[in-house]
Amino acid sequence: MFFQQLVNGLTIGSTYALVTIGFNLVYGVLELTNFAHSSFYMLGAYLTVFSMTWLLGRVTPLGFFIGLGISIVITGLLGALMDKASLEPIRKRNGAPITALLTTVGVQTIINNSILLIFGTESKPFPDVFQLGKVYVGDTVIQIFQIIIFVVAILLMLGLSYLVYRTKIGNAMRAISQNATAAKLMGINVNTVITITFLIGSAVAAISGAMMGTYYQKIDTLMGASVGLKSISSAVLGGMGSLPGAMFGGFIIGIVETMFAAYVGSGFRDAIAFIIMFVVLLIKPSGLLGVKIETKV
Amino acid sequence: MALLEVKNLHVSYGSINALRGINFEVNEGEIVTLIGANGAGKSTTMNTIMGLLRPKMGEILYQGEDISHEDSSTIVKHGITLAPEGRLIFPRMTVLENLQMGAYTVSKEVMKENMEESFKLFPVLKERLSQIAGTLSGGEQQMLAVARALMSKSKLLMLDEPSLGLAPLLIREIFDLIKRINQIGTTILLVEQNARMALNISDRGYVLETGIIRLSGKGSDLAKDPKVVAAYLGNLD
Ligand SMILES: Nc1ncnc2c1ncn2[C@@H]1O[C@H](COP(=O)(O)OP(=O)(O)OP(=O)(O)O)[C@@H](O)[C@H]1O
Ligand SMILES: [Mg+2]
Repeated sequence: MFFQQLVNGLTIGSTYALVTIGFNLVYGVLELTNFAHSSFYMLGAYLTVFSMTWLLGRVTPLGFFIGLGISIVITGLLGALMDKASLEPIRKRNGAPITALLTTVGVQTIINNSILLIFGTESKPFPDVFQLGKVYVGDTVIQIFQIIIFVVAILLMLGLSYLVYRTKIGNAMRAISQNATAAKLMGINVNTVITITFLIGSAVAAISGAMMGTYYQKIDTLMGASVGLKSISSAVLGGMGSLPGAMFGGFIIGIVETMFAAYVGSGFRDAIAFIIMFVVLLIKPSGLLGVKIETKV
Repeated sequence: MALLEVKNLHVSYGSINALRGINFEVNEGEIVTLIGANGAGKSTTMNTIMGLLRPKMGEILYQGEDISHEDSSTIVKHGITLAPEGRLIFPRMTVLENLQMGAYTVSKEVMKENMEESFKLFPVLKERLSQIAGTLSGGEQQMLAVARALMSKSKLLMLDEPSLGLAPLLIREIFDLIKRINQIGTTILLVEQNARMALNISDRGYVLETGIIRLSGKGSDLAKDPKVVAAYLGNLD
């Protein structure tokens, strides 16, 4: 019973982790809470299933991967477009941070309502093309796909960490996050790097959406909203802007939430993330793996 | 042809006109100093050349080409760098990473070469490569900012108050260093509060007063000019 809950909790936690990683990538560079991020996650799921079933008509693993590829490209480009069209103009005019924040809420609304308009309100089936089956460990049932979700979450975290800490564009991202003016003086094209950050963050969200669609075998227009709030809690818990923090925050929220539902009752299930977040903010405001920002003047 | 030529440059912050039509030039190989009281527009001038601010009117010619509407990243690639007022190091990166960022536009080989040269100029930094830059002392941060600006081996190096916050002994060292950097072949545009020292190492100087250039001349002449002495150098010693 306990291990079963742990496995389920880790799977849900991986969902949150997958979404939070892209969210924290953007936050790490811009210190901007991107409320539209969970909408890209939902869009990624819709575009994958749409490409696979309606566009290609191939409900096979190959169809899934092609559909996912299409979804990643479109979602990534829309993320970049969001920055170029709505956030870059604010940066150019030195707009207040709150303006950018509200803009992301606006973009969220646009995407969510576009999905409602195009795909309708009722939930859509998301065929599981892999049918990987399950393994038994004692009396615990583990679906192979649960393992895959978990592994993908870790690989994406490692991949993005490599990008941020070991590549030239990653150095540019970190430089911008620490001092955007100084970054310009180094010859970094700040706007381009930020747009690329949105592109990558959104593309990763699309991967998460497609994985979750396959796991739950259906998607609906509320999937973004519910995961979005949880992923913001995960980010606060793990440390805003931290990639490993995103992963651990997601895992912890997923596990605690599942355990709480199993042993205490499912009524408060969705509130638990916020309770954890609240407690963490009181004890360690920078999150479990967050860094305290110190600057000498 | 001058390396840098600023023509009738006007810059404003909203309704505040910080620069009201200034003209000056910097020739290849020179050290040129801008002096002026607080708020005269010295930093504004440098930031505008660097593309951080947009002029309202006027031209900035670099090697004969107008760069006044180019992006900072392009201007760096042309070979101009600025060590800005207030250092602006990357506080959560190590000293080494800060220096590497300074070499963002050059190849790895050039970076290694430049890094060796920086260590010769600033041996202190070599001992502290893995220290987080935000934990360096103020003076060390200032050295890092100058060293970082040298990493791209620019043709024109602009230094906005490089001696700010340094101990008197170090200030002398910084000026020696500026001379040495200049002798290696870098053209320098300098802004300094220590006007006398700055003018003494400069080929030429300009005196900026609330957005207008009032005086210009050879560095050594300006240092003796009674108006300059009275307003900026004081009568001590
Ligand atoms: N961001 C800004 N917004 C509004 N006014 C500004 C801004 N930056 C500078 N100014 C104004 O422009 C004028 C020139 O400022 P600038 O920083 O160029 O002076 P400075 O010569 O570098 O002075 P200091 O020696 O104190 O560094 C000043 O009157 C200043 O108040
Ligand atoms: Mg200044």
